[in-house]
Amino acid sequence: MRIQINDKHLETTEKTNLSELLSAQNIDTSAIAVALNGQVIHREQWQQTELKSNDTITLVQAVAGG
Amino acid sequence: MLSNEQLLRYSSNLLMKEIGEAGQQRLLKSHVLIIGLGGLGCPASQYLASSGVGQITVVDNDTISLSNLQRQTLYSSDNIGLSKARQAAYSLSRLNPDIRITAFEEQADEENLNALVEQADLVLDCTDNRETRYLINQSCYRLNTVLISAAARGFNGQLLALNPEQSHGCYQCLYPDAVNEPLNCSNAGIAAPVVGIMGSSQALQAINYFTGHKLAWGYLQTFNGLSQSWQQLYLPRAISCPVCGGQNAHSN
Repeated sequence: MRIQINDKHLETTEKTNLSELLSAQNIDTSAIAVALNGQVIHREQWQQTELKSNDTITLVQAVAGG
Repeated sequence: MLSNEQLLRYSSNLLMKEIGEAGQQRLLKSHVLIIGLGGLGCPASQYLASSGVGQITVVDNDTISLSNLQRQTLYSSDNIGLSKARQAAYSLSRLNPDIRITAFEEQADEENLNALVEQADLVLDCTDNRETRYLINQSCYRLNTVLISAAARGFNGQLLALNPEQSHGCYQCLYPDAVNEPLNCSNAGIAAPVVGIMGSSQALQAINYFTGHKLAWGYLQTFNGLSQSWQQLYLPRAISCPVCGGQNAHSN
């Protein structure tokens, strides 16, 4: 299935959840917010969030400057 | 009733049906607390002062340095070494003597935040560090006060309007790990107009709020200054959030 992470498209063959995908992609999740199809998904829900084809994942780096 | 001088000073607001005389009266009766007088707080406070927000409290314990002048539009080269809070209050009251400016040369912390937030109708988080951002979020939720938070780094900006009376998540839900980023404006760089856009957006949201327009409560709005594009992401409440979740939840 086809999944988009920010500007990058990927193809995965197996069923996967958000948590598995983020670790398979070696994404450092310590200071980011993760959104699926326009809605932030909290960390405790990553494991149970099954991905489907054409899902769009947005990773937002925490920014605190001003 | 607006005075003749006010009719002229605020004529551009009065001409629009979206603000008008009723909206201007509400702005003049409003009190905004601005925490942080750097790249966000400068344009935010300038637009709120010039638009006629009747009472503005500014808080910052920092002094003006040469490297601030790239983006901190309230200060000039002969202000280096002076207190940001005091200088901001001086510049803002010269810009608009019709309003009341109160300045605190203090670091916002657990000691003073509740007293500051309590007096305000709306809070702008214009700070430059995560610890203070968590404290401001907590205080606004404790006192049920609307918070417009913004941040910027490099060419990226983030904006989040929070209303503790509504069911969306809070700043703590968005970034639950108290990780301190190694990068900030001083060591990672910041495009001056990007932080200006974010501070101006905070001022715009405050004006929209006071004049009765709907805000995108609970949406993280990110701005990319290279593509000049905005993206909106909805932030739901985290059930386990120690600030807005569980027993602390004001609404469902």
